[in-house]
Amino acid sequence: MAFEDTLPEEEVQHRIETRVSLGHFMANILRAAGAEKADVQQSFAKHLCDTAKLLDGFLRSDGRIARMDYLPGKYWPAQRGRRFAFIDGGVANVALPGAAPLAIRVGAYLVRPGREGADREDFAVQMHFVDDLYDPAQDVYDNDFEDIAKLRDAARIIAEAGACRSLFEEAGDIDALLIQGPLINPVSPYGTPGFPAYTASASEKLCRQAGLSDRDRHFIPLYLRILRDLRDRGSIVAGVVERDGGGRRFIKNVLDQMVERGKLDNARRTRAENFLKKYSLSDTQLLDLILREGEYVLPLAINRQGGPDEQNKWPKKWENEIGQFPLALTTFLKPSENVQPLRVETFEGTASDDLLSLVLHTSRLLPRYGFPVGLDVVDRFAKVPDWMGRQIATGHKVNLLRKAFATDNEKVRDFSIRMLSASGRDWLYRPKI
Amino acid sequence: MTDWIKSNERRIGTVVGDASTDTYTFILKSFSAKLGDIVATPTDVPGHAGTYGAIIWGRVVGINRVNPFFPAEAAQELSEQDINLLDTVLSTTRDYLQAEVLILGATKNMDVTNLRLSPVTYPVKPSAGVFSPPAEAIRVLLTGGDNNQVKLRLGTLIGRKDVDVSLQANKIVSRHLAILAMTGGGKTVAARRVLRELTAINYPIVILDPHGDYLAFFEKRRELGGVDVKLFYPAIRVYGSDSGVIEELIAKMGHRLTDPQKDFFQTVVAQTNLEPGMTAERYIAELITTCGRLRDGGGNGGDRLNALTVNAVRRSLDFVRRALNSMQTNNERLMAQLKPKGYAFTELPDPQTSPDEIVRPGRISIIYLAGFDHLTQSAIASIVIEHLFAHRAKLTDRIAPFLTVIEEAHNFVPGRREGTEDTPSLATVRKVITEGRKFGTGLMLISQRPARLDETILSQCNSFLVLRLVNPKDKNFVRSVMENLSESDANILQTFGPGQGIVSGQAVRFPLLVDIDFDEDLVSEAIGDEDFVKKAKDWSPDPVREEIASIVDEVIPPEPPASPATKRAGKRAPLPDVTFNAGTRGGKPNGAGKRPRA
Repeated sequence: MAFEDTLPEEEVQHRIETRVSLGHFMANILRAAGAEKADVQQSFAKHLCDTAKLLDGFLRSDGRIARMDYLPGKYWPAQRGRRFAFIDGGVANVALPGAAPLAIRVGAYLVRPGREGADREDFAVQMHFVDDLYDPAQDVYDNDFEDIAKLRDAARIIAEAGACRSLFEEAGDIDALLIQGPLINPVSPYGTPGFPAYTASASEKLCRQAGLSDRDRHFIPLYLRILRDLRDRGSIVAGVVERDGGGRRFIKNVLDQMVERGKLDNARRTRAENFLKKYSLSDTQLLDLILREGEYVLPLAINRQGGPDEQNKWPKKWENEIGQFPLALTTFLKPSENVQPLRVETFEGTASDDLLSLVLHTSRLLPRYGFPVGLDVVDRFAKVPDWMGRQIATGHKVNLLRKAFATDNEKVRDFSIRMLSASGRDWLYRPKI
Repeated sequence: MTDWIKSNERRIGTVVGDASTDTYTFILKSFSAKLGDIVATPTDVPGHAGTYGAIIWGRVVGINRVNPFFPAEAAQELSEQDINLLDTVLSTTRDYLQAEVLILGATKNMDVTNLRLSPVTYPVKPSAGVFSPPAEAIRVLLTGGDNNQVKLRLGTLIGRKDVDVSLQANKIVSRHLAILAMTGGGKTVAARRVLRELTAINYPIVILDPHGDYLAFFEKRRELGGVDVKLFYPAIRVYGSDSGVIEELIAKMGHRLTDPQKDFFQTVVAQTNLEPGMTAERYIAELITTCGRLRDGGGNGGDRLNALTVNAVRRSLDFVRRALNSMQTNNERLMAQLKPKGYAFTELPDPQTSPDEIVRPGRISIIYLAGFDHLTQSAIASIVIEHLFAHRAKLTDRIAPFLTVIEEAHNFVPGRREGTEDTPSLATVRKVITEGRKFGTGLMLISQRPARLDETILSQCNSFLVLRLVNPKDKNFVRSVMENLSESDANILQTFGPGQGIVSGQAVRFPLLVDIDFDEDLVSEAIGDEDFVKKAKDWSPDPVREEIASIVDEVIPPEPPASPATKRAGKRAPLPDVTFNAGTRGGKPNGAGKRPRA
């Protein structure tokens, strides 16, 4: 291949071997092994190496890989007096018979580097929701829905976004805000028929606007409204994704651009895409093989709601709103050699160098973990510990039993005991012959 | 009176985690309590007639400070990159304090004028408040509300100057006290404090002082309220009852004797007249005379004596006599140095015949043992303690109950590992410490090397005052001997400053961390730490000696040094002429060393 300054093949192979030894590709190999011949592992490594070389060659020759220098001695003193915020949501894991508890809190950590004293750091629970999703008189949603997990997910996503928005309003002088997870989430899954709108009070809490119509209180328009508000502030707001979710949207965009520029023919593009699909290779896995320490791919604006080929899957009712969602300016940054690259998402028009420098320098404060330390701090702050979930469950059971025994109905009492003393897979619940 | 147990101002934390009847942990409010502080927690306890409110009292024995928001790997990066933490986004403020409490007991009655501790039979409630009691409540707790007992003020609780710590006098004078600390830990400060309090109640005290640490009591007797302080130098006298000790001393101090020599020595002892009360030196001279008499055939079996055996025993006795003489001279020389400073020494009265001159209410008798070696000091201590104890044990009431202070106790009661089990004073002290409490002959053992002390003797001490200890052997030994010293208590021993320590045992109601009062007015002005650096700087040769040397050199000039050749010639004897017989091999005459042929 004629690309200059690309990674030598030996280096890519060495990286693959290192990652295989760390178990990074085991799931991919095992998944493919069932349908392949005995030499599957060997061919996997070869194909992977070829694909990585192909991408590396294109990205480097096109000047799409840049480097951010790690200079903590210069960087940190230059941040004195600035104010950074970090946001993360915690969800309680509570399993209760006869109830669907929702307990979410979004924590915020604000810090002014270089400052000493009580006003250097602020910790706050910026947003919280506690409710029973089975309860007819709900505080969060104005109706019930069969998919409880989706209700919880949507509540967490919108609570985090709402917390970012309210934090800007309350704290004001924030130079950069990082949120743990994607900045913009796909919304189609929450647009299915019957998905309830938020109550008036919850909507007002989320976007600080009263009197929204029923339609505007639905997750999709409400989330869109909050994201727009955030974008329009012009501040640095970014989502940092630690976990490899398995998506290939970024690489697909790169392949598209390669075809557009005549660097790749359509047939080979399809073969490369099929290979990625066959082995379930993700953006993170591939870019981990390409990027060196401190390197990142120049950001691409990606529509998190899906490309043109996916728009037919958007719920008809919300097509207009989904089409208006901001694009996520996305990049992958590798903070240090032994950690996978982080996905960083921000709004278009954000000064990415300032942002990426912050992500790199805060990540390097945790050299082994390789994740922005401010997000690690707020994660610990917001996390709902297991013991708290257990206490909630115990309290709920006690309350239920008290209410049952307060009635004269023996059947209610028996059923309550049976329900609380047995798990869902207990023999009591097995079908009778 | 019990409002404090509900007061938010006094609330310093909340109980968390698993609580037992021995310990509990609580989250401590920042800067609200320290290690060693007494804390209280209200709780309901089941009783015969339903539950009742009680206060669980405890002592903070450990505090952990945790900041889960500050990861260790971040600290590593800060160090390696030389970054100032405050310049970064790292958090420093979310730390919390988790304190561990050792439960001391419970009081049923909330009335602080009468707080009697009883065992805790029911754990404290997680989520219960933890309170810092007012000084008055702790004071009453420490005394149990019993103000009739005689107390010896020791100092204050560490970090709480408003709470006094006292020892029960009766438990100290009859049931023995051990003061243990490394050098500079404050042993002398502690001992001085206890002794001052005892002099205030006129309790008789006898101090065995190997280094003169307690001579200041004489100098400062006015500050002690005019107490009668006597300084004694020992005169080793021999009585029938303790002749064995002297014989043992002679046997140990002298040359190693062979079995026939030992037999002869016993014969000499048996045939020597012992006048009770004669000095050891004179007694040894008598033994030497007996040796000569026996050698010359003047005694039983003298004819059969081997001259070599007799001379060996004589030489050994003479060696001991000279050694004793030399030590006495040293002791006298040391005393002479102190005389100009106003110190007046008198010979130790005979403890057998005049014990009341040593032990008397309102008197401190200091036996100054400096200049003698450990063995001799031990022999002296053995004789004195044995006789004084005998007077008490006979119940004749010839002398009052008294307290004996043994400084450098590891030299008087060494442990088995020291290989000195037959140290003369060991058996005596063992007897006194075991039976002493019946007869009012208490001991105060003071040592800087507890691990070198006899374990049985130390464990007989019912009260301990342990100050700074760093040596792991010493700490482990103390922990093995002290029943109520917790692991966390043992761990803090090395952190004590001078004069800080832990007091436990029968003299106090429960172990307490104490800051011992420093009696500055009792510090000697005449005797202090010598400035050897200055002394070396100011030193100059004796001018008289120099003058004499120069005169001698002038009158009798020194001989010129011999040349090397002369030296060699002078050292080597001329070689004898050697002739070898034919057939001689290997330097042996022909046939030598061979068996003749049959």
